[in-house]
Amino acid sequence: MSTLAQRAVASLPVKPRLASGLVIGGSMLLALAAAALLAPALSSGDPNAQNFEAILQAPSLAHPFGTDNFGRDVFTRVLYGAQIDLRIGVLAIIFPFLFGSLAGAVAGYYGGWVDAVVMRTVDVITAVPFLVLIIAIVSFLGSGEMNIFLAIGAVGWVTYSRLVRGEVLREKNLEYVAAVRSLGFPRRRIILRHLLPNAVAPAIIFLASDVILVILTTATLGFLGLGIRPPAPEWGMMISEGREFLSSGWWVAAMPGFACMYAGLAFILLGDGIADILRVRGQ
Amino acid sequence: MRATYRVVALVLAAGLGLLGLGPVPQNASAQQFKKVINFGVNRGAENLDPVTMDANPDLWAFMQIYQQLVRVNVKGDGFVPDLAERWTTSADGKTWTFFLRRDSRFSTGDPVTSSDVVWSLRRAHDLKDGPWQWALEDVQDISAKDDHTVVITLKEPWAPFLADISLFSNSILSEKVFKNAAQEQISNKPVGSGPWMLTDWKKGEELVMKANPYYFEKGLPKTPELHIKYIPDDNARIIAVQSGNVDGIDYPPFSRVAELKRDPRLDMQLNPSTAVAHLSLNTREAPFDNVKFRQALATAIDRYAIVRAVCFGYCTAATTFLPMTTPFFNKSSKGYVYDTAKAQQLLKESGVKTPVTVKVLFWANNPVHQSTAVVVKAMWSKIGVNLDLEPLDRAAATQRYRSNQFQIYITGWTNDIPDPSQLGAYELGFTQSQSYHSGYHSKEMDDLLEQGQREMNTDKRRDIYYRIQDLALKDSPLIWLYYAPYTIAISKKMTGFVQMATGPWIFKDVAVAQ
Amino acid sequence: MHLLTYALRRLGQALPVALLVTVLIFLLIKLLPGNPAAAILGDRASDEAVRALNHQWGLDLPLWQQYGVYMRNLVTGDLGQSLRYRTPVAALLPHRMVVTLFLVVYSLLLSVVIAVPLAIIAATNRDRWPDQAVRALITLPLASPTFWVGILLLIVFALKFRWFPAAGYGEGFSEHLRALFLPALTLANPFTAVLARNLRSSLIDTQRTTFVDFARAKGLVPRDVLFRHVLRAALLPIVTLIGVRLSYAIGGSVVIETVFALPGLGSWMVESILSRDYMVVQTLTLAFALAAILVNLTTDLIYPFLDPRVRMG
Repeated sequence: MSTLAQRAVASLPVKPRLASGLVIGGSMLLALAAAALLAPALSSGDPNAQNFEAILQAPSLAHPFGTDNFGRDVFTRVLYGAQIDLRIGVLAIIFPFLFGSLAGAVAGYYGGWVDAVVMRTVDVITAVPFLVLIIAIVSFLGSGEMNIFLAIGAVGWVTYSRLVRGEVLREKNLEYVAAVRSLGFPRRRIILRHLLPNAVAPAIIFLASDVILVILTTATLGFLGLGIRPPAPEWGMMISEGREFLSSGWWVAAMPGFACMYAGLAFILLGDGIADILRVRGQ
Repeated sequence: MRATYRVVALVLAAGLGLLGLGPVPQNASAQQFKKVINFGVNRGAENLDPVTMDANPDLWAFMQIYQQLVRVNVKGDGFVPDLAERWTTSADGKTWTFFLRRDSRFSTGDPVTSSDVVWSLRRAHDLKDGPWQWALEDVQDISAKDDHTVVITLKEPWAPFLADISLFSNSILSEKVFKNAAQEQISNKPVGSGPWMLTDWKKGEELVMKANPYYFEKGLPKTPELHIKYIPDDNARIIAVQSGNVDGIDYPPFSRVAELKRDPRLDMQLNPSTAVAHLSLNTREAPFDNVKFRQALATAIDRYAIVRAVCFGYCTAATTFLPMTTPFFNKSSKGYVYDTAKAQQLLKESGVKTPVTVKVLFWANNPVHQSTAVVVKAMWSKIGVNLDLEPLDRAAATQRYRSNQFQIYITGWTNDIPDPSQLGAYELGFTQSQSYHSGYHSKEMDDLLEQGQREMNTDKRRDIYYRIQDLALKDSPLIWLYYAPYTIAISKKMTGFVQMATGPWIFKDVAVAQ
Repeated sequence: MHLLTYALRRLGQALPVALLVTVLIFLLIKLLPGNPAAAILGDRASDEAVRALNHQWGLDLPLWQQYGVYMRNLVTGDLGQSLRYRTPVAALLPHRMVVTLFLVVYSLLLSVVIAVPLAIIAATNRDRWPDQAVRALITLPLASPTFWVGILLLIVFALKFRWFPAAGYGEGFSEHLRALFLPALTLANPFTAVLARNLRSSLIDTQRTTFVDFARAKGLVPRDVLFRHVLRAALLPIVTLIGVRLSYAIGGSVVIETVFALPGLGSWMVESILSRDYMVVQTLTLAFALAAILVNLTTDLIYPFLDPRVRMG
């Protein structure tokens, strides 16, 4: 490293706060996952139990989150919904993140026709309105979780590839890359060990918001009637169904909305924490 | 640090300036009444041709523009003159003579003559495979005796004939304008003799109508302009009427009725309708080919619970297949009484093994259908029937339904004429629609339906339709759930608004105070 | 010149992409179950009526022939007929397009106006309380469902305070601004947060790199450093995200347009898919494809101006 860079690194203050995002976000997430797993024990046990004597009751000791228009306990539904939404949110972004980052790094590094092929594919996919694709797949195969994964997988990797490619284009001309190349390292190693960890920071930051975007996309699909099959207690569907009752029972849509916010906050803090670590290590 | 705050302040100031925030200035006008009626609706019109359309938004819109020979009265149980001021029937019941008013004119200024009537009705009669052809099925000939007399001869005496001729598909169009017109013109540019005429149509957004200066009732319509605005989102539509953006809306959902009733600005109406909600069962496949199984399902439904869950108490549990407002509705029929034990007994007698899984198909993004499915699922689980929900988008659901690839389909009916013959033939007769696609085919039922259409004596007709209602309940190819009123919320400043039991609104007497 | 050849090359690549997209969509839509005649004529229409109407619209021809007809019409400037409204698509398109463009641009402006100052505050006060406050402020809306936020804004600002109309597009420019404010704000919601976070992180990164030291060594005052060098470099991820975001704009605007009853392209697209109004879907998809390609191309071309270290591969 040049003396200028050495001085830059040396001037960095020590960061104990690095851990805080990771710790807070991680523990929030663990708490949520635990609550989801322990849902049968923590709640009334049946998210579909209807009770027409107790329609749209405000939050109380008996029903901490109130009841909905069928008399179902909202707290129970939110906990069982956590199982569904955490599962969808986490699983649906794995493929897009991994595949997209790799594709973007490869495209950015190699350039030329490789770049052209990847980026033109990205163009075609982003040119197809996301909803058209989703509706097509879901109408064709039927509604449900699996098909949401397929649709999001087919389309979601695009953002990651563009973010990573942008960073790689910038990074590959930096000194340290030239330094490493002059040492004779193979390209694959350069990409995987050196470029990717640095270039992937914006992708990881986006990942955190992407989990929430996935959950909300599922909600939008529910809004259009193409989501998880009712009467499943998926948060997005609950918010969508609760739209009718904003004035007579605001808790029906609000509670799953708060659950979304909680989960979102947790993922974002976690993402920030990870990004902070990566950023320092990459220097 | 200071630079940061300066930047922020500058940007915020620019942003606020751009928006020009502030309350809406109130229009302090000296006039007493508004010149425009604004009405918000949940579905937009697509085709204003009376003969080829089949959707409530279309017909409720063009009913402002077109007239018929006779019109259904508001209550839905009789007829009033419209373009015909009086009519006579021959002794054998096969010839009807209509005498037209002399002062009705189209919005072009041309008088309405019998040649317009003959052309319009012949067109409605001759269109192959149209949705409303059945209304003129029995007609042998339509001719003009003179400029203001129309004679219609029937093949057989036909009890529901007057009801059929009042159907909106038998509206009278201007022959001069439409004689050689392309279909598109008829669909997009209606020209009628009713109180309103179409002046602008922003598709999917707004229909603009102005008063027909040649309308025969002098002084009407009271307000010179009518805008029908398409606001599909329920919340937005309700907010629009509460904030005064529109003067009235249709279909506020049942979940909001209680709240709207409490709103001092609004008149929340529940108007009697001819709407029935029901489940169609596919009797072609097991276990739905088993009549005891169907009866068990019908007995296991707590209709009062559905009324509470789906309609928030504002509907009426259904008994027979007819809407309450239709003539010959059997008021003393009890329909299916909720009884889980009896349902289990029927299930045992049917021989169908429980637990059994069945599927219900319905339109996705329809909260009423979905609520119904969710509630029924809970009820049937008590007798060992597991109901799987299958929401599909409308086009896909329609495809499956039309090709009979369903087990249960959530649907409903709105009677268009004040007579049970249309509904009976469609829902329980095999020829028109395979009994609402249920596949139900009963010779006894077909015979009864046929008799009901030919019997001219009212009392005898009533007996026939009572028997039809009982038989329908016994065979239960459909499960009738509830009768739903029309929900309308209008501003208290609006007077003179009327909604017919068959659905269309009447705006000609409406005035909206400032 | 290098840039010009790159641009021309990209445009040359863009055409087959656009073509590919139309074929893809054509097949995808035709594969969906259901047909427009049944959807339009309604449940009670007879089978013969449905068949007749489908035949009238040429929908019973083999697929490759239908595609050929569509392309032939396109080349002569005929965008097809909306089966639902029985009106040429070209007549319905301009007004809808204006509404959506207005909404999208408005929301992007709002995003930038809100996100940039927030990001600067956060980055320059890193890990002190303004930073934490900003991060909390932008994270909460990020995790909220957009349509839920929209409805809440509607109830508070359109109903309680009557500052904005509840639905529709309005007449006249100032009415449009007022009518679209809440929807644009709702639409801007997730993007503002993502933008602010990425910008903040890029600002932090660039602050620490060598060329900031360099600028300082040149004797520039910290504020100038911020505005001249740092912001310019940090614009890279913003531009990337805007490019991607515009492509998703139509999807995002669908929900907003439905909640606020705006007659735009998004809601029209979904209605058309659901009623199988094929020509509308085809034409709208083609329009989106061309727009997306143009936006991608533009952002790629802007890259080198923002950061001289980037070279076109």
